[in-house]
Amino acid sequence: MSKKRFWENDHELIPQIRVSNESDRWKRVRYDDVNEDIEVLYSNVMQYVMENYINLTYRTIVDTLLDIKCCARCIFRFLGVRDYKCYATSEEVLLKILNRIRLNEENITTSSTLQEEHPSTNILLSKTQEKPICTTCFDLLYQADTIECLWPIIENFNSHNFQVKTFNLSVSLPSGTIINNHSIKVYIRQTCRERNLSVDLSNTIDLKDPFKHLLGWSIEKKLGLKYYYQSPFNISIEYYHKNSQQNHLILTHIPSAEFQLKKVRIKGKAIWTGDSRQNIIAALEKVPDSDFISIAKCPPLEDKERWENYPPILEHSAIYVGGRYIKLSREISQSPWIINGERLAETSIAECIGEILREKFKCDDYNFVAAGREDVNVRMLGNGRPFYFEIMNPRNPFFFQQELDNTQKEINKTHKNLVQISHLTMITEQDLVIIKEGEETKRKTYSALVWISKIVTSEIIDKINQYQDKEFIIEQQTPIRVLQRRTQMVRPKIIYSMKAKALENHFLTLQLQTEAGTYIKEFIHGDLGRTKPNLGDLLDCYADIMALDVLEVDLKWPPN
Amino acid sequence: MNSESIINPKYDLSQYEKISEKYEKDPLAYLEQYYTKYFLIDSNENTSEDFYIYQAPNKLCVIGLAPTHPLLQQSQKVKSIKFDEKISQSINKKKQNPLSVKSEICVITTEEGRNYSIKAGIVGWVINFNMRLDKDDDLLQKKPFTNGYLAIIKPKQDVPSKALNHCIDEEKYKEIRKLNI
Ligand SMILES: [Zn+2]
Repeated sequence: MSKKRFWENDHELIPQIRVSNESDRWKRVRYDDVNEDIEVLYSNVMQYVMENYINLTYRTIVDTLLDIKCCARCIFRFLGVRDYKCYATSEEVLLKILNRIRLNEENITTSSTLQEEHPSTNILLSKTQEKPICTTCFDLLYQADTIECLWPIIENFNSHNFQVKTFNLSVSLPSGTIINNHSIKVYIRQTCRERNLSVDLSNTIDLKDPFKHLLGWSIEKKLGLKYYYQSPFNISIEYYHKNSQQNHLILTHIPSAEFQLKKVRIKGKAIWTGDSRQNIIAALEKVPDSDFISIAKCPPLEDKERWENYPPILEHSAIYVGGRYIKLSREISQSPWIINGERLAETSIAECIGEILREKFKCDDYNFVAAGREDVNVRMLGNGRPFYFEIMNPRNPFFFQQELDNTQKEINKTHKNLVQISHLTMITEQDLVIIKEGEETKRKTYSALVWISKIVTSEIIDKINQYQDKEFIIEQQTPIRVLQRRTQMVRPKIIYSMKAKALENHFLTLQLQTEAGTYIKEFIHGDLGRTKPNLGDLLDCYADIMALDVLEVDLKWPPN
Repeated sequence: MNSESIINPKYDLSQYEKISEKYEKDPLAYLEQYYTKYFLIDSNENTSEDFYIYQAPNKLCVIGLAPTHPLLQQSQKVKSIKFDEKISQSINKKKQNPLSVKSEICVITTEEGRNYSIKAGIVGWVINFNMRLDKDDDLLQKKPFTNGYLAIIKPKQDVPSKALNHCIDEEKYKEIRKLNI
């Protein structure tokens, strides 16, 4: 059944088109604990630089990258700076540090021809359309902590009104950044080779790492949440860059890359596969620089387009709530009973409870699971049947027991004549298996109203009651009423206890305790002799069942 | 409902008066709770090899001897009941061609050497033969309308009016065979 998703119109709350607000592009979120002290930062950064580069190649790297107007943060990546707090410093400070790195050592050799500042410095600091777009990150890292980058996440979060304390972040960066990063590495190596410098770029920081940290900190700051990698609440966002989307296809022209795309047909549509990130990275590793230079643009061409993003997906992992239910009606089913689009029972246990839980947890959807089931015309009484709900993507995942108690009261009041629940409580994913096992292994106690073709006498009652403390085995062929979907077979089942009470004339009540999976109705009317022995056989008459109730499902639930 | 009746349910027998009355008149009336009864009349005017077909709500059909079948009318002793082997082996196997109304599913031989051919009666697949008939020779004639059924058939057609349009209901059957049970 396709349930109406309560929140399915949520996306309408999020404006589809990014509001173009020029100032958002430059406006950065300020973190509290960022050190802007240039001396401290400089020595901090130099520690990494000295660790990663034994000779003066790092100066060449800084110069080369400034020449091609790489953003300061990306240059930090190529220098191997692993302290991401350094990246959070303002662009002005970062460029001052970079200029100092390239000049300080130079001073020793007293080369007076060098300028104080690299000529790209000014244009890199510009906050207009003049600023060149970084060819390695398409300005994603440059903008990681800007309002423009955060805006879709904040809007989405607020419109869904998630009540969470932590978040985890999954980002997917444009595939073009892989090729361009590689191209820049090749370019650096080439430049160094021309100057007879050896260089090892293996300590370059992957674009994703500082990006996720900066974006994560900004979200922490703006939404007041904690960035926690095991958080059940996940923010997932995919970025793309139109102009470079197909750049990896150059690999198909480089034989040493062994990069092959496969055309597969999915539902009649031709789709190319084999261009996953891993495949692209693996292929690039095989390519000698000389092969790469002959085909690819090295350094990458300047681009006029920046990054873009698909709408972010904010999702809380499923949570579970369990309890026991009593079904008082012979008119409602356990789960929605719909055959060929036609509703055969007005409502169901699942809906009576689930729709109220949906409101409380503000979830996309729910799944109802119970330890076994009863037919529509069977009541579930006694201690109730264990159940749980899987709550999908709750906006409001935290509940105190007090609130659950109130929810239970509300459900019981709303559906007074249909359903009553008890022990409603939060449960863990590990508890779920108990219900599934219980379905197959637990004893059930039933009460049945039975008609027999003889007048009920005390002899008849005695005959039944001799089994009160004496178990016996019946053999049940698959009942005809389920034979259309279950294989024909014979199942032996234990009746642990059977006792009767005489009512009037042809009527008696029968209380049975049986093994899980026993078909009670068939035991009573015999199912055309397919259950042997049946009640009729034992009493040598015809028997039929008028009403059936489940009294007990012998399972400790919820676990606590 | 109070808490006592949740542990120890009470049943209001007045609700079941009518049904009890009906059951007392005919102990087999309970079958109507579970099946819709149809009958298949012998097309040969000179014989009355009639069958019942009970259809369950899940569309499965139980086929057996109608009261007017010679095996129930005359005292003939059944010697053997042979279910068609090919059909037996095809039960539960996928992609079988459905049987036709006239497909023979079983032959009953009497001590006198008379053979009665049992047909599928509906277009569909046999999903169960009543193997208890093999073990208990008397069952067919002693309890023909319950434990002595012959086979369970899954009709090809889901819609009863299409699957069973060549059959008649109980009233019509009694009228034709001039029964007033
Ligand atoms: Zn960059």
